[in-house]
Amino acid sequence: MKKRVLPSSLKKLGYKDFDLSFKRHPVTGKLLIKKDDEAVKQAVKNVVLTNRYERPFHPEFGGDIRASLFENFTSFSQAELSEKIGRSIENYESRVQLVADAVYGPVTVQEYPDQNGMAVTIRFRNVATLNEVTLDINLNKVR
Amino acid sequence: MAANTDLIVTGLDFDTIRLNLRTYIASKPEFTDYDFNDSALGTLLDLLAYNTYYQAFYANMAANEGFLDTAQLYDSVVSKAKALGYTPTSARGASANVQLIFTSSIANNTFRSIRVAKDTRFTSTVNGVSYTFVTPQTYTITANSTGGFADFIKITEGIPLTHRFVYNRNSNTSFVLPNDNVDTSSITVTVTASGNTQTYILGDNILTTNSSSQVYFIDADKEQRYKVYFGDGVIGKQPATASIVAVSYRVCNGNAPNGANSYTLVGSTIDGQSGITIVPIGRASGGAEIESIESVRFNAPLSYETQNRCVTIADYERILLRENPDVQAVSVWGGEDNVPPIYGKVFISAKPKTGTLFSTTRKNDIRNSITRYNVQSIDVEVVDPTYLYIIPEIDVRYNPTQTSRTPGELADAVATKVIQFEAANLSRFGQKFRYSRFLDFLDSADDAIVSTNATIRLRKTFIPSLLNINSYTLKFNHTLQRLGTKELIGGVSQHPGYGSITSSQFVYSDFNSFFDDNGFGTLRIYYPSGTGRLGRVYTNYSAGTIDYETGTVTISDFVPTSFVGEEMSIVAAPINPNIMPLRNQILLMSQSVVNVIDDNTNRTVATASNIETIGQTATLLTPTGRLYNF
Repeated sequence: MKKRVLPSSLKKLGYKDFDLSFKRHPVTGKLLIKKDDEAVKQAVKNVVLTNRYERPFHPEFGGDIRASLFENFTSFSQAELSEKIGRSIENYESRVQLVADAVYGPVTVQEYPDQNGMAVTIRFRNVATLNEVTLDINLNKVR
Repeated sequence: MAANTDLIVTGLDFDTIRLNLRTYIASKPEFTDYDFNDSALGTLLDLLAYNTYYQAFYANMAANEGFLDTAQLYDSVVSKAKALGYTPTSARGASANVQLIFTSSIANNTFRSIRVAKDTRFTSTVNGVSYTFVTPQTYTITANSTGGFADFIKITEGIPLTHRFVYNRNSNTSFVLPNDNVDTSSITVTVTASGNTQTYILGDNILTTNSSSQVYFIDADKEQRYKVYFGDGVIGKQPATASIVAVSYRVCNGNAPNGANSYTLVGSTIDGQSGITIVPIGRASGGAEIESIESVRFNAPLSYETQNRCVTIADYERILLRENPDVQAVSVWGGEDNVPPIYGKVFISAKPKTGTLFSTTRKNDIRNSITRYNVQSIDVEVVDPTYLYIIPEIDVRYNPTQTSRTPGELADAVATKVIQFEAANLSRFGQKFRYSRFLDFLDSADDAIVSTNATIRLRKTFIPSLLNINSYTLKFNHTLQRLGTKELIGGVSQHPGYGSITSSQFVYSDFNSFFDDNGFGTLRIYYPSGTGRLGRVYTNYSAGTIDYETGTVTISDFVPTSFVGEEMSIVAAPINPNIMPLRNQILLMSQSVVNVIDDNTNRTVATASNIETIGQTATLLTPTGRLYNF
């Protein structure tokens, strides 16, 4: 397995990021905060849902799966999508290790052609907390 | 206090800006996910960095546009030039002279003249495109002694238009002409107030303008448009509110109609007269595009330095280029530097952008364009540039083991270098031919070249009359070799009895003849009989003289029966291979020959000739079709 060089902040336990929903804390009125596994989950979701050429000056960044919504669903596209998502997480999120169980690989893509959508399940381990985390992302065409 | 709390603002590229922002965030305890591109904080950093980069780029570009040296937009360059009192030259319509002959009109006691109204239209087709030419003024053609009507008029390319504006002293004082390619030299302005129409003239000198001067001014506006405005009542008369301002001008097609030489009248009559023959006197010339950004950038500061008057040579050059957009280069020299010296005169030689010489009419226009800036006592004369041809015969020795090129390819590579050298270092006024630089440049054609040698000869051309006995003086302006190369004659190495002069072929006394010289200042005519140089049969032992010191060849009382080509050539060898042009001389290369010699075998393995240098391919014609004459 590829050995990872982790940024200095990885050595500290605990991650702290703000919530991309930009909601206020009901009591303190401050911006909501996401910590540890939740922060990492948000980051993984962020990288998967970012399309290529979306980030200024970094066209290579992102999982590029939104673009796949408009492709035909086939068994090939399913495998290709899993591969693409796994690769983007390995490349751009150094805080996680993808994990596979006995039945499924680390990334499974379930397509729902009748609903024009797909469900993506990503299983990974937070390398700082060593917790195994499952992230489900549902994508649907809205028009 | 934490380290790195200061935000570093020196980055200009996206990645550096982002890194600086990241370093700043790293010093804050609130968030720890700054290291990761996909975190929400990372996304925010991207956004901030992008915004900062965008602003930095915008500030950089805005600052660039603020200076004449760096501005990229036409409007910015024009705006900066305006501060220097410089108005970019507009597009100019091509002009031509034509003779109108009214073949059916006979004068009588009451019918003595024909009026050719301003804006009488003609059409001409150049490269398959039809252009409109008009008379820029009204001409009156009076009957000649035989009762016929014929005269020369000038016509200019462009479509005449008139725009009317209502002047208001408070809100509407300047008028933008809403067309591209306005020929500002054609603008006429009238102001009508209370039924009284007055013509205003272009105000180009505020020193002579007072509160009652009926002048208008022209300024460059946005998007290559021009605007017309009036004085404020102190400098120039201010029209009354509600005056009707009529601006007439032509919209032209720049340099595209240059070269037109056939015209058709639009309609069939002029002043009620039909049967009109139009005889072009030379091709249309003088059409030019609107001044380019680089030209404005170059000319504006220099124009400011000249202060709109011609005193120094640089003043003349600058104003000539500004006033005549079809001039590519000029050379100016005082009469005291002329040969012979003519005091109180300034000589101007101008090279056109297209063709090699200007027509006589155009030269007069160029002269007129400068006279109003000129010091009163100085007379201006426009002379043609003269072309001195350099004929290089180049021997290139090369090592065939060091190149993959064939000898023919190597010869072509050297020939290309000759063309490049001429384009970059010759063909303009004042550009000198440096022998060693030339050889050095040729050496760079291929690493396999071990040495290069070139024999330099000079050529002057002239067109002799086939009808009249004339004398012709050709000025090489370089010291010429007196004697030819020594040859083995009768087993003895000696000078062959003639100098370095040769010529193109002509028929003289029924023989295909050539010029040579005796090495002692006398020009001779011979025809070859038999082989070798000893077989020269002389038909004229004193055909002219040569001053080797000044390089002046005079051909006396010469009239050939015919000659080969469009012009005759005299070729001479200079003592010094470095050739310096004088005054209105322009150096070109022609008849270049490249010999490729295998350095191991000493054999010539390839030769390139007919190398397409400017001097080889340019047809020395004026816009009028007149052949260039020495």
